[in-house]
Amino acid sequence: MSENKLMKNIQDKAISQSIKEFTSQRISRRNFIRNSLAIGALSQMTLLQSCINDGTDESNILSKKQLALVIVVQNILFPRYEDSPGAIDFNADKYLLWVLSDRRIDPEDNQYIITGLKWLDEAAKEEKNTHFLKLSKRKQVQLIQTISKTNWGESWLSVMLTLIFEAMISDPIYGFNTNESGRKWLEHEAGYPRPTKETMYDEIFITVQQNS
Amino acid sequence: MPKETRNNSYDICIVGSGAGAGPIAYELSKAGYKVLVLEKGPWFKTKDFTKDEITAVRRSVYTPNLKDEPQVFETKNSRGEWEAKSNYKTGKDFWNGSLVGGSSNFMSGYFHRMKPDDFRLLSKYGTIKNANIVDWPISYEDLERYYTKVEKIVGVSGKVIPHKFQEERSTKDFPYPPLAENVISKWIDKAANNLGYKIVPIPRAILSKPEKERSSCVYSNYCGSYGCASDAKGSSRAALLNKALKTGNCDILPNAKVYHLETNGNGKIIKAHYYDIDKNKQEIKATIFVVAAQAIETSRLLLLSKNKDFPNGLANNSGQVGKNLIFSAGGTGSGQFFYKDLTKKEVEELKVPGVFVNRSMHHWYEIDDEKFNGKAKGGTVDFLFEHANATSKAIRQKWDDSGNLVFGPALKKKLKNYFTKQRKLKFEIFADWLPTDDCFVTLDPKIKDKWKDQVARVRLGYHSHDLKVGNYLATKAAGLLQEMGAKNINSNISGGAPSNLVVGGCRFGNDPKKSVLDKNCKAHEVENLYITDGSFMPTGGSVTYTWTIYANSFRVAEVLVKQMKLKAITSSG
Repeated sequence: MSENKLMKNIQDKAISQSIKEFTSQRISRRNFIRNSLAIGALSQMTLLQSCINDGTDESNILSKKQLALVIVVQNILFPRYEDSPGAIDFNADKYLLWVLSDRRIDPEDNQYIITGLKWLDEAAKEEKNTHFLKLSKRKQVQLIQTISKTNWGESWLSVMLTLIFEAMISDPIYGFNTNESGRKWLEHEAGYPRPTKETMYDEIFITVQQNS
Repeated sequence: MPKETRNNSYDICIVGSGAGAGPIAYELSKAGYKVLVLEKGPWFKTKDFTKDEITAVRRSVYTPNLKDEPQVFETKNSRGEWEAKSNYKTGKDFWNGSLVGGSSNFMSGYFHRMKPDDFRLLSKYGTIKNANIVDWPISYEDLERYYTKVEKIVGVSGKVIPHKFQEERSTKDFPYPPLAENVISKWIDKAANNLGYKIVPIPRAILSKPEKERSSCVYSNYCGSYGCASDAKGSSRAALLNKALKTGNCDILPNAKVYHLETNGNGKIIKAHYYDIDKNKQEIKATIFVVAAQAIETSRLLLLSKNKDFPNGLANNSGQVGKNLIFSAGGTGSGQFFYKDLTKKEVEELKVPGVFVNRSMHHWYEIDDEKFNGKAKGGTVDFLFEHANATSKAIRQKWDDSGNLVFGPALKKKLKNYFTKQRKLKFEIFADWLPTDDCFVTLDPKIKDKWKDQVARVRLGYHSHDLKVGNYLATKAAGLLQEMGAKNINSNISGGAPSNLVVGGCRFGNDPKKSVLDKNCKAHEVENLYITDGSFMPTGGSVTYTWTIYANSFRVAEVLVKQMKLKAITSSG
């Protein structure tokens, strides 16, 4: 299938307005740049569970194949080189699972991440008659390049990149960016005070309720 | 503080706890009156604030989940028709901080006074077609001593430098010296000097030296959008509410969402009805009610509080509640300084984190140019470094100059260069958002929040004149960056409403038919209702609003103390 035909086929995928907002380059004026995932329309965790069909990862959120796809895609988007860390170095896959398990994030938005995995595999079948994971590394990169030119592909890859960035910058207390390799590579200095077990995301909601 | 209040009746009940609420709680509790603050959000203490980007910026921790508390916004579509969308669908979040202290916890504290001509915009510059410009019922001189009070009590650091639009002051200089500055501030001064005008330091609501119970700034490099862990930032919580609590006369009830103000049939509020943390309905009595829930939600509460005496909403028999909402017009711009173009020493000094830029351009607060047929109101330009938020900075590198998504080695190279080989200087333009009939708050007829109450519906129309002024100022700011030797200079002026710079909706004035509040911010139609957030402002000036909101709230607090004393004398007599 030609690139043009492939793009025509997969540009028809529906992308919610919230995802478009999330991925856009917004310029804010002394504003919270809250490109949170907590936007969307549905409310049932069952959406996530419906994707489980061939064994799951430890957190029961993704199937093993889905998780394998996540890892391959993340390593294409943000590869490790001798002189710089990659997605694998700050456990971007585990970070993504943590996000998917966050009940404060709207299930529809998390479902979009999983649906993107399905669409990616469909695109591989349409072009090469095989699963994405069975393509050579070179062809996987080519396909990612191709879908990045489509509306859905650009949006989905953009979300995947944002989650890689969040993992790369996250405080070690969250357990993903434990050696701060991304921060060191970018010469990024974190601010103080750093989060503690009581003030890190999620725990902070419990902590402040005890203030009341 | 327990979930229940200590009393079931108070002298003053304040709805909201931000900049409009803090001075009322502080002054009235100090004067010996029993004050209750009802805050919709939770109570974050100083110890709970960290510089964790995930908590502070990447997730909705300090603001409501938009599924629970959506708002509806109307913007013009491509056909020029107004189209309403819930922000639960669009993700456009206009909540600025639902917690004790409100959004003042997260301000950057760039503090400017409004200038005398801002109080008489109509008299000074005349009408503009389709703009509802009016003069204020008070003057700069009326507010000056309260601006000074804020400098002392909230704490403002800075240095007064004479310039052609410097407003008159009753004190010589600020009570706190300027905060430490980056070397780039001197580069800005030099460039402006070369161009023949003066750049002035920006006063900041941040302590540069310790105060009794608050530490001075620790230059954490993460200020705006983050709660302050040293209490140096002059939030309503740190600077006022904590002191009000020490009087023993002030109670703060978090997680208390006021949904209705009940009147007695004679134009007087007798109770505030609120939901507690368990969604149970509660009520509280008070002598005086003060609403300061930030402009959109203040108008919404009045519109929700309709009854047979006020069928269109509380204090809205004039039909003015929610009208003439204003934001801040202007936009942003930036330029980059590449390390390869600088000496080693310059690079080392430029890279120093934490210290501030703190420079502002007031030279075009009034424009005198034939493009505007003579004199016109201009605005302010503040200069600041790009925020240190690393994830947000990385996100902006995802696209190349043609708008294509980049990944893999190209992305990594782009990131490395951006983070380690340059520093970006930004500017923010503040101009009057002219009040018009196309910017207002109503109630959405269908969409409700988690308590089943109608949500605010906001039309976000702007006046084309706002863009003309914004673009004029952007040209001047870009010229300064060019003189400094910055590269990749750009600006973005639009009619987009900045969610954190919103006032109006309950404008004050002398005519009850054309305004909601009198000059003391008491509702014309309600005997004991005062509104002290930015809702009272009929025009906004060309600066950030918090200092003016604080000052006005101190002014109203003085009126309330006098009134309470008079009431006590009358009762005893």
